[in-house]
Amino acid sequence: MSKPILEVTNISLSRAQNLVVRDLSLSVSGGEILQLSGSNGSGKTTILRALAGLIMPDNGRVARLEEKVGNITTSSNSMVYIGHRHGLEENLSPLENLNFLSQVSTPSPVRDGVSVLGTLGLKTSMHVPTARLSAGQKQRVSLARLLMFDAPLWLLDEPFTALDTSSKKQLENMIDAHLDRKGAVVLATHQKFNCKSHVTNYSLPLIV
Amino acid sequence: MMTNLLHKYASLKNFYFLSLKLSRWLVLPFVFTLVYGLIGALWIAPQDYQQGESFRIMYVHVPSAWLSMFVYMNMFGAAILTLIWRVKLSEIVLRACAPLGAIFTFLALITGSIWGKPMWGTWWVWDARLTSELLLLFIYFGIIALFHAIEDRRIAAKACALMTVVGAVNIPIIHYSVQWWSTLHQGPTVSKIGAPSIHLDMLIPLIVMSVAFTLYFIIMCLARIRIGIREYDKNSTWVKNLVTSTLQKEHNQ
Amino acid sequence: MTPFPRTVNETTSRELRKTFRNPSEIFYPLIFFVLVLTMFPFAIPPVPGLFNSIASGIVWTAALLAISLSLETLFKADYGSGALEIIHLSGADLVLVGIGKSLGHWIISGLPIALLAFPIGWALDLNFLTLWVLVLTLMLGSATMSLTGASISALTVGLRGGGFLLVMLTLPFFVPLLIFGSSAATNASLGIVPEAELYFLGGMFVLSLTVAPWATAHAIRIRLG
Repeated sequence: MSKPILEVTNISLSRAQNLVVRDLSLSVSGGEILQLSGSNGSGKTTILRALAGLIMPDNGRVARLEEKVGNITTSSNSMVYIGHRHGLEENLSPLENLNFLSQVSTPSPVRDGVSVLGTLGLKTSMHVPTARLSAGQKQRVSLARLLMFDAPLWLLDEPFTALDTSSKKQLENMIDAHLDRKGAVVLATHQKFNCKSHVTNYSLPLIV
Repeated sequence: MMTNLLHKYASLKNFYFLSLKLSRWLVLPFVFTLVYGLIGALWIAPQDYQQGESFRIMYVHVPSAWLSMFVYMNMFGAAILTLIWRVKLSEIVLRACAPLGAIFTFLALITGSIWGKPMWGTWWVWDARLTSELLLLFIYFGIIALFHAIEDRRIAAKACALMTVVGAVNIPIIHYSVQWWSTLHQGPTVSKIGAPSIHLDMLIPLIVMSVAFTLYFIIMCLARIRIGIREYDKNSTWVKNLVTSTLQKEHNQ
Repeated sequence: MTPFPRTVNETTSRELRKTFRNPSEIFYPLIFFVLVLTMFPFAIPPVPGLFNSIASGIVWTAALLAISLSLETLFKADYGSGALEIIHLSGADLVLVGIGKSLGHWIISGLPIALLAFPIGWALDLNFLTLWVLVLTLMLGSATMSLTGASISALTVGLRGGGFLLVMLTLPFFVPLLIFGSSAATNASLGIVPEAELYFLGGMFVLSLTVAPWATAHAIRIRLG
């Protein structure tokens, strides 16, 4: 049995003094994919952010690769978190955005911005100011980080948003390839998607 | 190990009941020192040969000013505990102290102004100490405003803790800058009766009043801390029991 | 190329590139600076020579207000777009990011204002020594403001009350800069070389350079939850 890439033990989470989830435990190992489903406001994003280390749980423990999530800097090489907001600077081009990230991140990325944007079908728009891109294109630039960095755990919050059919298919393929490489995925989405591997589903809200 | 010890003694429930006992014990000393200090200030202390009776406001002004700094030092200690060890109780202490510190600073400004009026003829001069106190008041206001601006209680506490630490670094700089600046202006100053040897009859009430003010601060601060503890632990059994038993007591009365 | 660490270079370049693509942003602090200056002749009594005698102080005050207000935009866009979060999660050294942001901010607002003070001071009939001292103190002081202000800007980013809260928090800390900056210029106008004031401003700058970026990094971490 391989070590779990992500292990969550009895966490309780609250957002602005409101309890969102209580005593949640789960674990995800290499090659496994976990889906958090539920309507808006059910707590999917809060849980994902806790898994990413952006929120401290009230109690319990979130551990990635057997390393307690306390200091994000030391565990940043173990995951890529794609949240709701793409974090792109509107006045800069997608390539400039990704190059900046490449230069400041530790550890350094394994693929460069040009090749990644090419793979995602953005070769022609990689020098255009991001403000002029469509929502779907911006989402694809956001997903570029999945290919740029070599991280075993992918935390995806509604990644299919604004993607057209072919882009959605491409993302599904990316997820499949990641799982084949023994990576792990935790995915929050209310959309239906195709996946070669078995998807474990957690339906939210988990507390009444 | 240090962290464990700290967390045990800073347990909110233990501190709550400890502070209740402490508050009860402190009331009598507070009343005693206040009365003793006031008698000393208003009757026993001899008239100042320069300022007559009006100097007696000093017995409120000096303790207020001293407390405005003392409260900030407490906040600084709580801020360090919050930032480094994430102790919940220190977050509550920080939030409890801020308005009290602002009140003492405000009181120091008002009484300082009143003290100066007979001497300067105006209600305000840009004197070194008063100006420093005024800037301190703005710093307190800023920290209080920051508490209210952030929704999540714990993030707000951490933000204010950082603000307090930044303030702590800057306050000495501000203090000495303002002092330097005031020497350029050669204005009148609100000074303590600063003769090298101050008459004992004048000094003792001052010390007693300072103690009285400090006791008052502790009692009020503990009350605010208890409110904070009830808020932080509001989902726990012990707080729920506390609330229901208090409501029952009131109902029975 | 430059002696700074790579993260600082990249962050500063990003700030500059971002701003120069939208150049109107550079002019707002400058225009505000001159606008505030212009208020004073309307406000103070028309005693002959009065305005020119307090000109250095007014220039310094106007610069202080303009720079304080411009601090609000430092982290606003990155926080709102989620970029700050991504930068943090990517393992970037936030202390260096803080320095880069401060340097970028200084180049965009503090430095232009300091340079603009030269022709403005000249128009206000200040002597040569005063002009140089004014520009130098503004450069040094505004650099300190960019550093210290960045930490408070990061702390208050995106909050309601926004800019006003930021200014309320930063102005008390900028008072020493104002005191020594304008005093230096005033002494210079009397023909005295303001050594003490310049040493102090230099000291404050070094202090903020060593302490503020750490505070900025902490502030970012705190606000990102």
